[in-house]
Amino acid sequence: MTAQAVTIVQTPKQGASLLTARSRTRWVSYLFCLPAVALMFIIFLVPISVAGILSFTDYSLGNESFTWLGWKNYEVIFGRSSYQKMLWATTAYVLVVVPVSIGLGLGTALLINSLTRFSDFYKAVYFLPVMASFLAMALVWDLALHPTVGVVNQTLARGCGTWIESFFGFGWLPWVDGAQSWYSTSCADEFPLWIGDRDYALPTICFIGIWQALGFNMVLYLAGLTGVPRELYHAAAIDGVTSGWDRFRLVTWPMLGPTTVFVVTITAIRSFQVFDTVEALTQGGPAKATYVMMYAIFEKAIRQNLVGFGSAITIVFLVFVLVITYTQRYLVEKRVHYS
Amino acid sequence: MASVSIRDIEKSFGQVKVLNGISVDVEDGEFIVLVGPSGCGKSTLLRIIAGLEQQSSGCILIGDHPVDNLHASRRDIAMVFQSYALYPHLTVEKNIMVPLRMTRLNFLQRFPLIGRFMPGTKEALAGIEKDVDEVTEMLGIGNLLDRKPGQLSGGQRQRVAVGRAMVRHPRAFLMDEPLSNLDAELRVHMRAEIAQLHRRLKSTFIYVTHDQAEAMTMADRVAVMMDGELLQVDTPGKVYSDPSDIRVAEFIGSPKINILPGQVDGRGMISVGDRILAGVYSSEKGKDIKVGVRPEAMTLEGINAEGLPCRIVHNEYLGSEAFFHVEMNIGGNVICRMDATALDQFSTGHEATAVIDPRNALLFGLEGQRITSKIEMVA
Repeated sequence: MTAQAVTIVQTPKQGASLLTARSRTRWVSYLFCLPAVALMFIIFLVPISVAGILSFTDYSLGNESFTWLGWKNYEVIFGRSSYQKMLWATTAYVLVVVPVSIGLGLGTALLINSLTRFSDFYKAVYFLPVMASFLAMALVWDLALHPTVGVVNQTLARGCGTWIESFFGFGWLPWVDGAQSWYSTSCADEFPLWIGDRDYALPTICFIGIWQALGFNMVLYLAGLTGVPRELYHAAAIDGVTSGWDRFRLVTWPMLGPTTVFVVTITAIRSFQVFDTVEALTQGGPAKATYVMMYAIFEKAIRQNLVGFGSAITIVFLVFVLVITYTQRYLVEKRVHYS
Repeated sequence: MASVSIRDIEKSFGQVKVLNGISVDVEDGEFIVLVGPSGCGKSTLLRIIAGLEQQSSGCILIGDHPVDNLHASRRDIAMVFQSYALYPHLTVEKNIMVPLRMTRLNFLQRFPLIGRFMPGTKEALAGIEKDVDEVTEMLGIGNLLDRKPGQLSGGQRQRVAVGRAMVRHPRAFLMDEPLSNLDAELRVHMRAEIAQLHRRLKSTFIYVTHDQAEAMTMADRVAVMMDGELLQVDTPGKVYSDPSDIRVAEFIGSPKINILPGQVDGRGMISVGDRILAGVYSSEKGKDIKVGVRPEAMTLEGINAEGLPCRIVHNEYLGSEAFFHVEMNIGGNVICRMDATALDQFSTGHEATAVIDPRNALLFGLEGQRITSKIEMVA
């Protein structure tokens, strides 16, 4: 009773000190968060906001002032044909490289996983393009794809007039006219210029993109495959599954769901960011056939010092990447984590 | 439903021999439990029966037909795994459907999207659904059909795994420690449920466990395995009271059987320490033997009683009964199982006398083989 009475008497004073103590703890806790929050602002949010603001202006580096342009930069991106080409080239690249490199990556991973010997050798070989710097590799590709002395066209030319031509002319298929096939007409005429030809440049860049991404996707899938419980394969065998296809459908593919979501997201973002291939081999040409977004940002903002316009492309690029990430986060991920 | 014959199965992993000529005939409709400590090869044997593992030599017959060259999927047996191995992306209903879909639908009918437009798919699916409903009704999981395994408790997953095994009426059920992932209370409950299921299905069950309580309570016959060998196949009662080997005696029964050194004299009378086991005779005259005494066949009496002097080092009170851990003066520790009222008389630290019930003493040779004894009781 006495103790209580004493407490009551002391309440105002004690309450005040309690309050300050509590608010002090709160301030200390904010203080602890400060370095992380500050860093996040300084290296992520502020630059993005600055880019966002600059994208509405005609700012160039070194200029003392700039004019507010409103949506004009964006109108140019979506209105002018050369930038529509840019959006198309980027989208086409992503739409080709992502599914093909993932499909082949998964296939390679499954094949390597089924090996009892030499699997490390194959892993190393397929992973090589990921490890190697592309600028060094570009030299090799440039040489290989050279229209006259390149190994690609030389090899193709060797096949002319032999069984190779008749086989790849597909004339042996009843509904194909061999003489009209791509191989035969190229033999008669000339083989493509590859990166120098506006029709072949983007497919060639895509091919190199697949070559680069395949090894990376393979490694991710190999990691995913180690996480598939072996007992599920046993249960499937007991349940009457005999064919590899059924086993894949029932166990492997669903169990790789989380891996696939990750691989799709990563490959899509990396494909949007394609730059080194274009810079090293085509510089966006010929006729803007390989003018992808990253290259456009580089050309506008760095080479031509049109920072405002470059920022606008950057923001469009960021929106694309954000859309992909959010789709993964909220739509797909819920369906592949089963517990 | 079919009998399962296991003939001279041997299995080696590289240099390590894990199964050493196992032979046992499981009758049609029998519930046999393979029991043994971990690493004794019982799970390997089960996986060989299932076809998930290939034996080094010997053969397996199901329903009198050799199945050694048949893939697991063609042996028409079901298996319940320790981890249940349910497909986590499928609902309970779809999980149970899998074995039926695999057998009743052909490749095109199972194919995604186009499958449902194939002739006969609709009828087959209706039949499958009916069979699944029947099984889920029987197991009491009808309300869980739309859930994924991740949303189920351990016991519910267990039932789903059993349902998936039951649904296609296999010739035999194989169960690999199916209860070991459950908590103690549920394990006791599921024990009874599986035994009831066996009675209802009248199918052949081969059940693997390291838990001797499961083996004793569920089995028609218990097969005790150790170090890749089958030591004894018998009814639970026989395995307990009439073990063929000291390893069987030591493995079955809790608390463990007490082993005391003994001698057979020239007349065949058996003594432990300086005490004669009255009325028990052995033909192994003049040899050293081991005498196994179950805890309940050993009682404590006062210091002056006829028996082996000892000291109580610890006691465990279990409500109706009590275990006394006792240090024998002739060496060794034993456990006596007595009525809990004995605690009034004996407590830790006290001297006492251990008295062996000679009728329930089991005799073993020094190598562990069982020695038959002759009991002549004077009324």
